[in-house]
Amino acid sequence: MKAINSILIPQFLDALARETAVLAPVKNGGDVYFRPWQPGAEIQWEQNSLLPPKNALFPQTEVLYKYELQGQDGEIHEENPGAEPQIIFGLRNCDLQSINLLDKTFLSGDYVDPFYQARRKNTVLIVFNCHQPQLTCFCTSLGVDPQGGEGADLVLYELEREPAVKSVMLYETGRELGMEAKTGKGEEILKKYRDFFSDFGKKPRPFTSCTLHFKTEGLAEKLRKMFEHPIWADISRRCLACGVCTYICPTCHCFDIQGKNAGDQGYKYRCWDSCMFSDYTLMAGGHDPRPTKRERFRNRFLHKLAYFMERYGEFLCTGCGRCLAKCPANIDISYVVKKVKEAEINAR
Amino acid sequence: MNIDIGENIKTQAQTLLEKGEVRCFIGFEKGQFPFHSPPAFIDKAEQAGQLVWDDFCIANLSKYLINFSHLEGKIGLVVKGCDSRGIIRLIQDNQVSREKLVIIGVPCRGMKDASRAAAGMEEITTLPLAEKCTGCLYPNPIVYDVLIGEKVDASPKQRFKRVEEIEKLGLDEKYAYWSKEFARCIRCYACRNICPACNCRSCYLDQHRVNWNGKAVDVAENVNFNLTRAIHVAGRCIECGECERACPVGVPIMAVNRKIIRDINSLFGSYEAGVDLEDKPPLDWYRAEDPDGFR
Repeated sequence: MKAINSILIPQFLDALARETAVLAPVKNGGDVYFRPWQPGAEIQWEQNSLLPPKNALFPQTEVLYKYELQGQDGEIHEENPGAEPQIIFGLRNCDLQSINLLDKTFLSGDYVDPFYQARRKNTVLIVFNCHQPQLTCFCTSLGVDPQGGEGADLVLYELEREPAVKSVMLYETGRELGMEAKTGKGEEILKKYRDFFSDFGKKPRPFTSCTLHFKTEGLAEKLRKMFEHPIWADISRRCLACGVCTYICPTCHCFDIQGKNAGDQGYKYRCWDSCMFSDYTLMAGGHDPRPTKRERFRNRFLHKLAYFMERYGEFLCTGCGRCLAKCPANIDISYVVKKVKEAEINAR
Repeated sequence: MNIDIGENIKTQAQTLLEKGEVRCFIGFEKGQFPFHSPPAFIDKAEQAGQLVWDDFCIANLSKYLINFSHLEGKIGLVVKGCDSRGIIRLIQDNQVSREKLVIIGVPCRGMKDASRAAAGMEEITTLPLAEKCTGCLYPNPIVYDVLIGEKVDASPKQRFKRVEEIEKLGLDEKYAYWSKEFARCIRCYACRNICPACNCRSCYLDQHRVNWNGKAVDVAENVNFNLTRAIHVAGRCIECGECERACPVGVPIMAVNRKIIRDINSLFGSYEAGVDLEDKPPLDWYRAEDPDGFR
């Protein structure tokens, strides 16, 4: 087992960033965002980031190709999908799991998304294990191990019987943090930057436990029978039908393709779309299979808790809690789950 | 005090529903966390006990009336001062009619900033006043059928403070400031959806075939969106501050709205939106003495 003193982390990131773009959770105003690492920046250890690192693999706006018209002919310039190597430092296990889920969506099955694939292949993930959840965290209910590190290249963790790492005291006192490689890419980093690390035998500090939790047994199966259930009309009334939950969600991955044309040239781009928006399922001719927020709200939760489970065997929710912290109407997936469990289904 | 108000709201709602005077009553209930008091939609008298009144009843319930405007029957709802201005906004914009509403007004001492509690940064007992409540001019409901609780004095703090700070910046600094703020916008449209003044049947932002505003998220399109929306609600913004509260990334939306309010007041004379049903917004009509200079 290797260890690194937290005082050395900024220097370690400086060293990494000299060769590869590094994204790290830093304070921006009052909130924490993943931003390109710059010397002098301060890592925020206590809170998870306001937005997940999804944007680094699946940007909110991404040009697919450009075109030029020349008389009757035209020329298409393929955009070379972002092949620049990058390191995402300090993401949590909920967000790591979201990347595992995005991998299923974009990389498995008949169609592999080349843009996502190019970014994913060139991305190194350095996870920071959680030891204490936030009030809105419920990853353990969704089967995510907050110290699992599954899919990470390197895992960073606090050590047992050591106080928690705090952003403010980080540079004054320092803490030994454990670091473990999970993949060859991780091993390489440990080897290449070995001057930063010492050998260390202490165990990880255990995870306390989420205060918010619910059981998910039989949930997907029950939801399968609840498409026309009155609870959707009832619990969606509070919903404002904005896209906050979908755009701050680490697993939501819907996109739209749009174009921008100027004279004889232009480009096609894709950008995130939200199933909560009125034009999301609007079809040519004006028909909309999800005409009101009841259907849109239902779709979002069925996708998270039933459809994705049926297709990939996992929930499309990692319990990061961002939606319930940020929904302006306090809509809460744990409340939706509770309502679904309480709901009676007419036996037919 | 809050408990009395809460009990009184329950009784009012229960009576209205029992007598069949309203088809639905909109108030607040407790959510998953002590710092969440989300909107509640009560259809049956026996559910009225769910209703509460506390420091987290921050949502402006008036916007939800749009969802009922096509239905028969009356709607009852709880309003604070700001929410009642939202109702006047919707009535003036022909979205709802006064006759279809039973309004329970509650004078408001300001709501607490739950976002700090949700982030685990602060204990619930020491939470500061929500940002949107610090500049409140009208804590007492302006339009209501029943008033619960005693009226409170308005103590607006520095309504135009942020506007003045930004106005002091040079042109390039302003450009840099707003580019940085709008760059964070993720275009979730929470500000639009929560706004009582954003009540168009079809929003220009959803008309992608016309493509008034590109769907790409970059500084140019974000500025286009944020400023267009600000101009669309110019003169009609009731200063409830819900847009800024709903914004997940903290864009200072009310600074733009208050700048426009101040400009309108200096150009067209003092005007407060959503305060007087008969007093139409200055940009809704033309007077011969309106200024026509180009600034």
